[in-house]
Amino acid sequence: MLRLRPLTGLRVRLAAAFTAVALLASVLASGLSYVLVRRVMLQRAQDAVLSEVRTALAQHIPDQLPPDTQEDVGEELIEALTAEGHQAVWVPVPLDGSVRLPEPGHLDVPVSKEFARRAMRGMVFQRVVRKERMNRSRPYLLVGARVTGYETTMDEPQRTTPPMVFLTASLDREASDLRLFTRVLSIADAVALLAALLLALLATRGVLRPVRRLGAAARALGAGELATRVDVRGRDELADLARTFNRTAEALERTVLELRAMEAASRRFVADVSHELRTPLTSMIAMTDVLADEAGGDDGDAARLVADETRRLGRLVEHLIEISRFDAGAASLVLDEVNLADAIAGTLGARGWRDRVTVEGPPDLFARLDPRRFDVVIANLAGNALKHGGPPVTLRFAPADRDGTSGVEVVVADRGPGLPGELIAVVFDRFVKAEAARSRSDGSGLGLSIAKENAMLHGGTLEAANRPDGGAEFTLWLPAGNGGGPA
Amino acid sequence: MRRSRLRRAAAVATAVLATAGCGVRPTGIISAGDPPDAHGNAAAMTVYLVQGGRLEAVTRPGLPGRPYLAIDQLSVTPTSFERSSGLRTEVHPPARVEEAAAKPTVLIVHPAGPPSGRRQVWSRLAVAQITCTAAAIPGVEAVKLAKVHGPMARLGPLTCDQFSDLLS
Repeated sequence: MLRLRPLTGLRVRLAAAFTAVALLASVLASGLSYVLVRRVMLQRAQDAVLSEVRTALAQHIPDQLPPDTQEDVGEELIEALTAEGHQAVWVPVPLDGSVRLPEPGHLDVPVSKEFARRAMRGMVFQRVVRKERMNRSRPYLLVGARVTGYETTMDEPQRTTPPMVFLTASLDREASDLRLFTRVLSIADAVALLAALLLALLATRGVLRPVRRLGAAARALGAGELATRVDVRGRDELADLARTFNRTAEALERTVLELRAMEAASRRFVADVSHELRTPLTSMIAMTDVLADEAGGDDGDAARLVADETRRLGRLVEHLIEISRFDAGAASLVLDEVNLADAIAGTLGARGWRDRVTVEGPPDLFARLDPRRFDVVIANLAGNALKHGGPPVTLRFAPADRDGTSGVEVVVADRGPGLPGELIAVVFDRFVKAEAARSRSDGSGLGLSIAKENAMLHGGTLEAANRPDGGAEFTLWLPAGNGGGPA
Repeated sequence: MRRSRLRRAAAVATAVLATAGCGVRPTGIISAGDPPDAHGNAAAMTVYLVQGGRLEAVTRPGLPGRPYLAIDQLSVTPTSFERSSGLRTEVHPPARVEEAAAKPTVLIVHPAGPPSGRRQVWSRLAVAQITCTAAAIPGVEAVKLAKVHGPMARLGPLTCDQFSDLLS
């Protein structure tokens, strides 16, 4: 049986946990690799530019400069340093401790005073991101450097001091490589996520299939299929569970079979006893009737009492035999087209209750029923109402559909005290009587049980309830079609 | 309660990712070590200056990749040390070397700036300075003047020997 489970199902939860772990792992791994790759990539690009600047400065500037050649040297340096994506500018080194910035426009990014000041003391660099339109930004590497270890003259140092250079190198290529890397990582993460989801679904199916099998088996067991067993596969916890289930089912089946056997035996015993009792009882009833008729005086009273009790015993035995037929499954329906109004009138008439029961219902309602069994049920319900309930007793019948099946409904109601609360649930059980004190009443205690069995044999129902305004109400419903019930 | 904890974890993760960031992040100013040592290879050059009407050779440091720098240096004010020795230069306006094919034996030199009419631009002393300085450059044998007028324009390739009378 496949039911749509809510989102909190075991499968969804397992898959979600699986996927979450996979996502976390892949995001962590890709994040770490991204950071590492970026560091290495930028480091390499920076090192290349820095060593280029260092080499150019070292090679193009001799340790001693001819006078007034800063411009020549500067131009030479710029020619050496300018390349694809590189822009360089030279600035004479001021000797009065001030800081001289390159003119704006020569470089891709402006040089800050602090940067220029630190460039006077040593080689420095800085990554700068220039914001552009359309929310785009371009990263640059800014480098500033001058040389050391040169000789100059005491009195005219400004004429022979080599210039310093500033250089910007575009990091566009690195940025686009990183973008590509990010895209590739995202795709890889998405693929990993999908794979994880797929794997999770497969794995959970593997786990859940035995669980589902166990569930189905448990349901079947609950529905009464005691022979249900599950296959034990593998050696995991679920296999253990399946084994336990099988053992439990086995024990249950054994117990239930034993109980059934015992019950069948006792029922057979009752049936046998009833049959054995019937013949002598029939003789006894005939004999006690004759005795009661012939005897007079005190003897006559005693004989009549014996005759009554013997008749009652006979009825009980008849009922027992009837109910053992139901138990044995030997009861069968003899269906006929029955006019309900006529059948009910006949039943009430035969027992002399026509004046005491008010009948309401359409006169031309037909149903396919077993007339004898219908008579038994109606007689029992009406008799009960008359005996235990208070007048007026009403009997209403009408066509009624239940669950799409057309049928007839007969409601017998009285105005008595109604059924005691605890009795409603068990009123159809055998030997249940309204009052313990009336245990010596005429009823065998089997009447309602037999009525119910008859209703069920028709495929119908018999229900007991209390009316809201007092009194008990028994509702019989029988399918009107072709009997329908188990034949 | 569980949900809020989850949300907080997600917020922390987002914050971590945001600080790590994507793309190239800007940095502060980072030191890349000491400045490089200047050790460009350049041979010293000889420049002829004037001392009391005669040519006097002085040595100045050269620049790498600039073989004809000595001609440019003729018009530079002598250093204070040279001046204190009474050295001066006659080459005004500055002399420029014409861009020529690689390694010419005859160097073509012309005055800088726009053509200066019919006036004689350089004195004989200045021309001697130019010629002898050029001759000191390895590979150069003679000098030819260009864009000059007067008697000098008609001169053929000059060598330093022609000015031996000015040499000390």
